[in-house]
Amino acid sequence: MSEEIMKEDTMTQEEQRVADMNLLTARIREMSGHRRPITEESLAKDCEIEQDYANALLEEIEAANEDICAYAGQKHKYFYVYPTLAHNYVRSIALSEEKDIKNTILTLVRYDSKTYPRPTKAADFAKEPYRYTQIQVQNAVRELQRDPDNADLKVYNSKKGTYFLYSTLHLPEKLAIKLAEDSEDAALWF
Amino acid sequence: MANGWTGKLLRLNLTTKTATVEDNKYNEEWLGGMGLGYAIMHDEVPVGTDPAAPEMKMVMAAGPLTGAGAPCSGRTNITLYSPVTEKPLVVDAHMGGHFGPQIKYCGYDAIIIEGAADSLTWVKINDDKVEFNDASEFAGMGTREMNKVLGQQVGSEYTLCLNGIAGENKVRMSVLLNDVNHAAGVGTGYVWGCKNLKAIAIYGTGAVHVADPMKALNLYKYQLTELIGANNNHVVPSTQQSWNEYVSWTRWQGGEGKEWEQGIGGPVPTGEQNPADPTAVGKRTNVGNYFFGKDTDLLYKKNVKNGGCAHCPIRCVNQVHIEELGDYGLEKDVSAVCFATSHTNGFYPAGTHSFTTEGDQSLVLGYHIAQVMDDYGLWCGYGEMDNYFSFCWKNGIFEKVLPAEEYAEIPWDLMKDGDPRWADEMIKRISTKQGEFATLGEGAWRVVTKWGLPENFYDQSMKFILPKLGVGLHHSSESMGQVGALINILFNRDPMCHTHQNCIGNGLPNEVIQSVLDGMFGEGAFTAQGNYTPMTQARAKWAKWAIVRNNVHDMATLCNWVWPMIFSPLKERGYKGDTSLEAQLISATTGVEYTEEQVDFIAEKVLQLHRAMTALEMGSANLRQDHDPLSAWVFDRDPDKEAFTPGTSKLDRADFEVALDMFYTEFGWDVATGIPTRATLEKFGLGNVADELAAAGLLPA
Amino acid sequence: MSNKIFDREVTRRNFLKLTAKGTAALAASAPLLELFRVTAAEAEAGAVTVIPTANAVLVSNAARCTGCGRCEINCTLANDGKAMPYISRVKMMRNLYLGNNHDGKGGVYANFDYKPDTCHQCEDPACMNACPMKAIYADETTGVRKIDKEKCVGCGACVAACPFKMPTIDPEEKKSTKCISCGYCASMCPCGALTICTWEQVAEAMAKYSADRL
Repeated sequence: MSEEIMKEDTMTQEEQRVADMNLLTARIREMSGHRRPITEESLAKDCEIEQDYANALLEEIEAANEDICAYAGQKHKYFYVYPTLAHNYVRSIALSEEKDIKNTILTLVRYDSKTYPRPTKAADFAKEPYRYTQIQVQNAVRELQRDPDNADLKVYNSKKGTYFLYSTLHLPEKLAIKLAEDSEDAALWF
Repeated sequence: MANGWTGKLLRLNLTTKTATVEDNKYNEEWLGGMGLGYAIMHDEVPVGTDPAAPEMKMVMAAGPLTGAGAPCSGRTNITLYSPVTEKPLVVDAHMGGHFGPQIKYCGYDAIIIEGAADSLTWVKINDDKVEFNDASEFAGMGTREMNKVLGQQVGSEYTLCLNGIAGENKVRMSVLLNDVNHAAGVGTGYVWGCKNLKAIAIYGTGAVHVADPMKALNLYKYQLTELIGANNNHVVPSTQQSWNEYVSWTRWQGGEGKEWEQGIGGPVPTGEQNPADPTAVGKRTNVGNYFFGKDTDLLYKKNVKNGGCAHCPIRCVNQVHIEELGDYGLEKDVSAVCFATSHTNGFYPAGTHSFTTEGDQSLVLGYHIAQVMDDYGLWCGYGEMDNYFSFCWKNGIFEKVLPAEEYAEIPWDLMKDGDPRWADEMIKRISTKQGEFATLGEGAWRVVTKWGLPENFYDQSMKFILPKLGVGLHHSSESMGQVGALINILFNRDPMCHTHQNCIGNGLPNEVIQSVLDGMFGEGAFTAQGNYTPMTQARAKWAKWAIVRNNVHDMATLCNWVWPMIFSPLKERGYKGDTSLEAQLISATTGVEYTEEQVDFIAEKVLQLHRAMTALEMGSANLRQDHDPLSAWVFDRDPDKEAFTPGTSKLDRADFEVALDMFYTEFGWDVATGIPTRATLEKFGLGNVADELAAAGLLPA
Repeated sequence: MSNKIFDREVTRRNFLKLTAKGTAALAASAPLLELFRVTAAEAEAGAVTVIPTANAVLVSNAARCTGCGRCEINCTLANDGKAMPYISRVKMMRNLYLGNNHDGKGGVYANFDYKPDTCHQCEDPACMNACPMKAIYADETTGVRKIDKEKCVGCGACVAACPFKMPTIDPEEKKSTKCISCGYCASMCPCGALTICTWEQVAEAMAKYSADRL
C-alpha cells in the first residue's frame, strides 16, 4: 500500500512541475506580448511559486525554449521572448530598473565604443529610460575613473561644449574625437 | 496598351505656342527620366547652345515607375544645359512633389520645352488639352502667392510647377518648384525665365498601366515591411523600441513620447514603428528634428505633420507651425526639408542669437529662410551661395566690389544682429538683380571671376570640390573617403547622389555595413568614417555601382534619398536588403523582363553619354586634367594628421591618382584622359558618339 | 449562437447613438479611440471623419494624412489593375492643395489640413437611386453598395447624384467605380490615416468601454 501511495505522489509532483513550468512560460510570453521583460522575482510572485524552485524551473525553461532568453542584470534576471523583444531593449529596461548609474554608464559606453564604434553623448543618459541629470553622470564618471580597472573610460568635451564619453579599449582617442566632432557638424549630414 | 511607359512625348513650343504629341522612341533603350533627357538633349540641342537661347530645350521627364505607385516614385528628372558654369554643360536637376506622376496621368513620358514666348506665359495641361495663357497677372509674383491664386483659378486637382521671382528675372541660381517646396535647382528657373514661362499647371485623368499589378502590390508590401527604413534609408531608430537592437541618432526619429505636437486637433503620437507594420512607416522620419532637435525635440514641438512626394511612404518633409515667423511678416506654416533649413550660419557669418528658447535660431532663421528662398525661387547650390557670400563678407570683398553708395545702403547691421529681415533683404536683392550685390545670384564661377576672388578660393573652401568648374560638393571625401570623392568628379554640378551617404548614416555598426558592402563588391570596398584606408579595386567597383544605381533611380524615377535597398531594418535578414528590387519593379510594371545587371547597364549607358557630352561641351581631350581635379583641401585638411590614420577624413594625392585609374578602368575610360574609349562607347551602342568625339579630336587613341 | 446580422445592427445603432452629436463623443472611449487610431483631441477637434456603413466603420483622420496618395494607387491597382488616381474610390489629391473644402483655407498651401474623402456607403444611396440601369446594389451579406459592371453603362448618373462626389466613370472601361470597402487603402496607409473596422471589432471596443465604466 505504501508503494502505491509513493507512486501517486511522484506522478503528482511531476505533473505539478510541468504545470508550474507552463505557468511560468506563459507568463513570460504574455509579458513580452505587452513589451515587458519580467524578473524571476516577479515571475515567482505572479505564479505563486517558491523562489528557489521557480529559479530552477526557469533554468530549464531557458534551455528548452530557443526563443526564451534571460538578461543577467546585477540584481535580477530578466526573462523575455526573442526576437519579439530585442536583447538591447531588455538591457535598457534592466539597467534603468536597477538604477546603478555607474554600471549603466560603463556598460553602454563600452558597448557603443566597441559596436558602432562611436563615443557616447552623456546627454543620452538624461533621456528615457535612464533619466539621470548631467551632474549625476559627471560625478559617477569621476568615481569610475578613480578605479584603475576603468582606465579605459575617457571624457571628451567637443568644440560645441558637448560632453562625450568613450572607451579606449575599443576606440582610439583621435578617432573618438573625430567621430564626436563629425556628429555635431550638421553640414556633413545634409 | 503600353505598360509603365505611355509611349508619348509632349512637346511645348513657346515661340509658336503650340503643343505636339509624338511617339516616345527612346523607351526601352533609355528607360526614362535621366536617360530620356540625355538622349533628347544629345539628339536635339547642339553643343554650345546658350541656356538663354530659344534653341535651348528642357526635358522634364518621368520614368516607367513614375505614377505607378512604386514607393518613392514621385520624382521628375529635368535635363538642361547649366547656366551656372562658365560654359553650358549638360546637367540634370531633380524635383519631388507630384509633378512627375501628373505628366504620366496626362498620357506622356516627358514634356519637352523649347522656344521662347514673346511675353510672360503659363501653360495648362489637362490630358490632351494644352493651353498657353497670358501670365502677366503673375509677373513678379512669388511662388507662395501664386500657388493660391493660380491654384484657385485652375482648381484643386492641379499640380503647379512654378518659376519664382528669381527665375523670372533670369537669375542663374534659381529653381523651379512644385507642391510648395519641392525644388529643382541648377538654373532651371533661369531657363524658364529666358523662355518667359512662369508656370505649368497639370492634371491628368489617365492611368499608368501596370503589366502585373498583383506582383507590383506584393513587391510594394515586401519593400514596406522588410526593406525600407526611414529617410536616407536609415534602418536604425533613434529611440530604443521593443524590437530594435541598435539605436543611433538617425533620420528615423519616431518613437514613444515623440509626437507631432502641432497636429490638427492636438499632438499626434508616433509610437513604435515595428517594421512589420506598414501603417507606421510614415511616422518614422523627422528630418528637421534630426538636425535641430538633438536634446530638445524642437521639431516635434513644431511639427503639424509630415509631408513629401507622391507615393512615398517615408514623408521626409516637415510641415511645421512656427509662431515666431509671424513676427517677421511670414506665414507661420512652412514646408521644408534638409538643406532648405541650413542657411542659418551661411547667411549670417557674423553670428546669430536665440529667439524664444535657447538655441532656437536654427529653427526660426532656418525655416524663415526656407520659406523666403522657396517663395523667390532662389537656389543656394547646396550651400555654394552661403559659402561664397560668407567668404566675401569675412574678407572685405563687398567693400571692394560694390559701389560705395550701394554698399552704404545695404543694411549690414541686420545681418550682424541675426535679424531674419537680413535674409529677406539678401534674397530679394539677389532675386530681383538689384545692384552689384546681385552678382551673388550668378553662381560661383561668375562671382569668383567678376569679383576677382583669390585664385586659391576653391582650394581653400571646403564647400567646393571641382575648382576647374566652380562646382560644389555633395557628400564627397567626407562620405566614405575615395567613394564620395570619385562620385563628385563626375558631373557638371553637385552630384546629388546619396547611395553611399545613406550607408554611413544608417545607424548600423560598421561591422555590419562592411560585411554587406564587402560581400557585394569584395574585400576593401568599405572604409570607416574618420579612419580611411588606401584605395582598393573593390572600392572602385562600389563607387561605380553607387553612381550607376543613382542614375537608375533618376531614370525610373525613384528617390535616391531613400533607394537603393542595400540594408534592411530586420535583424532576421542580417540587416541585408535587396538590391534587385528596382529591376523587379520595372519588370512587373512594364512587362519587360529586366535583370539588375540590365537595368544598371542602361544607367551606365547614360553616364557614358554624359561623360562624352561633357568632353564635347568643354572641348576637352583630357577630362582627368580639365574637369576632374579635386580642390586641394581634400588632401590638405588636418595638416597635423596623416591620411589613412584614425581621426581624419583627408585623402592622399598619390592614392587618389590610383583611385582615378581604378575608377576610369571600371568605366572603360582611357586612364590618361578619363574619356570613354571607342570600344566602351560601342559596347553601349554609342558608336555615333564615339564618331562625334573623333570628329572633334577628343577621342582617346 | 447569436444572429450576426442582428448583432451588427444593434452595435451599429448603439454606435450611432454614441456619436449622434459628433465625433467628439468618441473622446470618452479609450478602446474606441485605440481601435480607430485617433486621439481624444483629434476627435474633439473634428479632425476625424467617422462613417458608419453597413459592414464597417470608415475613419479618415486629417491629423495623420500626410498627402502621399498611396491610398489612391493601392485602391486602383487592387481593384482595377492599373494606377489611376482619377478613378480611385478614396480621394485625397483633390484636397491636398486647397484643403478639404477646396477653398484654400486648408491644404499644403495653408495649414496642412487635408485628408482622404471616403465613400459613405449611404443607407439611402443617392447613387443607387439615380442609376437607371439598377447597376448599384447592396451586397446581401455585407450590405456594401457595389456596382454590377455587366449592367453599368457608364452614363454618369451616379456621379452627378452623389452629394460627396465619390463615384467616377472610368474613361477607359466606361464603367462607374465606387468604394466596395475592400480595406486595401487603409491596410497600407503609411501613417494610419485611414482605418476600416468591422462591426465585430467596434462591438468589442464598446463592450470594453462599458466594462471600464462600471
